[in-house]
Amino acid sequence: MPLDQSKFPKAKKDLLSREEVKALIKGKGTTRPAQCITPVLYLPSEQPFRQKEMEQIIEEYPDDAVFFEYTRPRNFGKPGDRYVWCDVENADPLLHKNEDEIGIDEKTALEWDVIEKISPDVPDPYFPECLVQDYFEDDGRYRGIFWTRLSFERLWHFRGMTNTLMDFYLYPDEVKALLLKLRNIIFKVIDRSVDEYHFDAIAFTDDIGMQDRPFFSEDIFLEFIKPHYKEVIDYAHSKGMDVWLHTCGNIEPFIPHMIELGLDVLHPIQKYSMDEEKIIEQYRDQICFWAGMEVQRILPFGSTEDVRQEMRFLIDTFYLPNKGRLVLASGNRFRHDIPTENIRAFFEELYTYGSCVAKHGVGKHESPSKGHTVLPDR
Amino acid sequence: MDHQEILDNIQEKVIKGKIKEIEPLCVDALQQGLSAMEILEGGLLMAMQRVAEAWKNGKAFIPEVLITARAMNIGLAVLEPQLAKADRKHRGKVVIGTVLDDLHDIGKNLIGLMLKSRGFEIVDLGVNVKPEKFVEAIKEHQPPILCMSALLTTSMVHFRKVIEALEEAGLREDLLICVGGAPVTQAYANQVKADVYTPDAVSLADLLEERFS
Repeated sequence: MPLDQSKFPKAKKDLLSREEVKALIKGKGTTRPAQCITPVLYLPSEQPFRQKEMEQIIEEYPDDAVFFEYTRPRNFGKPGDRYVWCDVENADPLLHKNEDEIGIDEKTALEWDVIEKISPDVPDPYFPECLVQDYFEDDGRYRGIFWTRLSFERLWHFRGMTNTLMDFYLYPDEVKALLLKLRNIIFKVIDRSVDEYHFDAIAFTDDIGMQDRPFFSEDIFLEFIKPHYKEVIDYAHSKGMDVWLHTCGNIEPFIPHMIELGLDVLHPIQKYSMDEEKIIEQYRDQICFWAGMEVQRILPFGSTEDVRQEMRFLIDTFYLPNKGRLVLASGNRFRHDIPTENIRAFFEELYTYGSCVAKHGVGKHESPSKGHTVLPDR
Repeated sequence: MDHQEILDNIQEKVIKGKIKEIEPLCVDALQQGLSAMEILEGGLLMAMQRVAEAWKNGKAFIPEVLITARAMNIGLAVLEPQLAKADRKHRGKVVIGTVLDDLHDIGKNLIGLMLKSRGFEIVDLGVNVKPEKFVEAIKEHQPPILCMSALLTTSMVHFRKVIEALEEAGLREDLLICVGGAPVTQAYANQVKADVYTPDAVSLADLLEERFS
């Protein structure tokens, strides 16, 4: 399906076609960096107070690559339910009984003996409730499916984060068995995404980094996580799909492993957690970066000029002229403390400066984080 | 096995997360004539110190710290009756909680486990805690320390609200207020008039242990 620009009547940009995005990812040339932000934003449900403005911005600056979110399986169901993570009747959360007192990770924390009783084939991605929300027909753009919680994130949604981090030591076999089950579900999601929707890619979330270091050691990554990633990436590639991964925080020790596994696109290379310039120096042209603009200081508390300057810095740093290897987004969702004018500046600069470097080459803009400390002052 | 070997063995088992072996090892060490204080200081606390050191050098991660803290608390449960007799120093109460609009609790849980193992009494208010709940808890427990955590830029604004509410209630003056979480910086902690900021829970546990020794 060739790209038809007339399908985007309000767009203030020329979109990239499927083939152009594919070439950009592989470093085989492009006219500018690509934009792919909607899967990061969870629009529009999380921005009700400015839903119309956000929709208008997205119409003016549509993504070059689009991802459809699958319908998430419910956490709990009754025996016989097919599209749930846990079909054990009356499976109580493990740690606390009072809803007011529990953390997000502990709401669904289950004992291992409950996990063992979950039917082996739920959630069933062939169940009608799955798979794709807000589907629209192919318009010539690069398309993918967005499946959250690739490994660690799913583990802690079963067991709670505190438990999960200790489970690597205390219940290693159970962790591996759970990852195997998860892998088999993801394989079916990939099959369905290719057979029924002909998607180009599958994107995952799996936050395995904290602000200053990974959640766990490289040894734990090598024993539990890397083999799981390898199976999933190999399977997706065997079906002709690219694999995109969002993982927050400092994941620096894991990046070479991700490159070795053939991960195609990595998001967001979090500022203040990792040094983007060091990362690009080490891994230039080995992977496509899905650079995410910083959301802890610059987007919420910086000026519109800070946002524009940071966008220019990101493009100058990550974009490889004549090759590509750069998709742009925010580092995480736009929370309500990010001013709408900063969001607009983000989109405008992404396109205008992105198009400019394609013609004139990258510049040497510095991040505003180097010039002055952007601080919350509201 | 001589006494030092027994203590070294406890240290190793704690560090390697052999949680099931900690209780019998502590019982056995008591039977071998070691005092509860010797086991605590030469075995459990030494293990914690080694892991904290490894954390500072970037060699240890949250699983190792959690496992060590948990193993230590298991050992403490065995030693506590003897320690009470030996008059182990209690360092005071600490109220901890994740602020309103935020459900992230790993940092809070970690500081709770680590401070408990170092002789502090923990009052854990949980997550998504309203300012008035912090005020009530400070009024009720009168702790010397309050620790608040936030992961989101949209929730860390509640540090200021809690501190202002404590000021209004006349509870601020004798309270050491510590804040932390991914987006928090020293400059932001100064801005909201908190007393202490550390970049992670391990550093905070060290700082409080030293200050309340």
